[in-house]
Amino acid sequence: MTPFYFGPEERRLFGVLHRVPGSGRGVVLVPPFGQEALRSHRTLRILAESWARAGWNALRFDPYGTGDSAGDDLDVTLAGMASDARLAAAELAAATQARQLAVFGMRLGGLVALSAADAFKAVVLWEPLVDDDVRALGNAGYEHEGFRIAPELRRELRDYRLPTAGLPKRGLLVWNAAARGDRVTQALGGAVERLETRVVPAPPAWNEENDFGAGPIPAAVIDALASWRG
Amino acid sequence: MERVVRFGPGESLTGVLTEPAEPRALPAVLLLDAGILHRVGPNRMNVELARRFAATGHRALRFDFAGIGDSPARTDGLALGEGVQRDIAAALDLVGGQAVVMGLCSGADNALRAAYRDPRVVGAALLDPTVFRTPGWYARRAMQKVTSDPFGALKQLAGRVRKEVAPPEAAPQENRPEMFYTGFQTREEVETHLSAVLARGVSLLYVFSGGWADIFNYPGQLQDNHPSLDLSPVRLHHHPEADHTFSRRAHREVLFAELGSWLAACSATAAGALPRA
Repeated sequence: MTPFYFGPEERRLFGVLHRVPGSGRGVVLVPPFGQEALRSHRTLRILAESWARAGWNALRFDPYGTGDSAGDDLDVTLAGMASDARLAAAELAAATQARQLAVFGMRLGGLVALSAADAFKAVVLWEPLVDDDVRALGNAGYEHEGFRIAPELRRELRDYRLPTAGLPKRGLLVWNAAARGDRVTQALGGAVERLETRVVPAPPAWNEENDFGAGPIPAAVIDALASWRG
Repeated sequence: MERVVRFGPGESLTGVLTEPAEPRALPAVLLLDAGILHRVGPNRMNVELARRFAATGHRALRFDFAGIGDSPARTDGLALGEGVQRDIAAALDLVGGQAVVMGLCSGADNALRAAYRDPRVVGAALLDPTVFRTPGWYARRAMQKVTSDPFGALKQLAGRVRKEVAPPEAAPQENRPEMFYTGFQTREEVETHLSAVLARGVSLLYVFSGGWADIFNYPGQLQDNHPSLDLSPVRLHHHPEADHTFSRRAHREVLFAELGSWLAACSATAAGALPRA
């Protein structure tokens, strides 16, 4: 596990590389936004470790304006996060032998992964925000659970439409409950040739557990993701 | 300028060091983990504080204790409390010289323990540390209930009277620290640390939020916890309007201003009173 900074001087990004020497496979992990990113940090670390054990080079990173990366919350936009995910892909390819790259996104990170998916061979999503949730976040106002939401991000969220073209041929979509994802599954099903959908009942990693500010670690979902053959 | 640092035994601890563009001879600032949240802190507070402190000439280190965030779990078998103090000592070794420690919740208790153990610590900012209820706390809580819900308060009083008539099944434990159990456990333990730290001339800042109202509800409560100590050198702010993690931006701005002002005063005191390492 190697933490480091990468990216241009004006947009320094924090990342943690889980390297698998000799492996040609790699995955970039895009976290959720705001409080959900803090709560799910442990799960994303364990997921990256699990992927590395399964032979995937894994790069976790904080988009600009989040986590340990430069910038602040008012700098966060969907377009910016997608551009950061592409930058992370280039960094992963440069730092390892990985050429078959997948992008993984959780919650809002799922939408970012979809926006950046043209730089990847596969897309993996865990409970991406669905339409109503996206619009709710877009209408949340200036502050949402301890984080400011930039006017540009609010606009992007309010106008957001799931992409129906330019997506990789392979994909995995994981839901903690079947009902929430039906519409997304349907929309992406037409755009991703081989889209596998799994329902793994589990507590959400991005919700607070026991007033600790950190979420639970749903081992069953991590196992399902790490065992995906791609 | 921020850079990743690996330090401690086997470079097992992970942190981010924020360095000022124009370094000055000022104490470094250690920003401690709050509970099991990783080093960026609640609402990313530690990141913002590190950058603000660096802008005023301080080096600031946010890092993960072993087993939290990106620092692997320890393998030396040390108990949690002792392990955390070893990690703080390693962080002090890394930054060198004098330092100020800051923490929220369990981080606050860990900061006071570090100030007690290590003479390199010249200041400690404690946000919602362990504190104990006092008669003054109970009186204010009762008054608050009476004014906000008189009928409910009457019902509760009647319940109390019934309990007095029938002996309780177990003795009440009203002097226990509430909310978390990894910090200080007794008032005496806190007092031992606090009196030694004060005697050494360490600058102390206490901040209490409304999220701590179940155990702290008036500014004089700290002094009432320790009537034998002279707490006049201690700076204390009470923000009943804020929640435990200062999640509202406006509340954080006030907190950041207070921390900045205290850090400047603390640095001036340290420069005058203690030799630099």
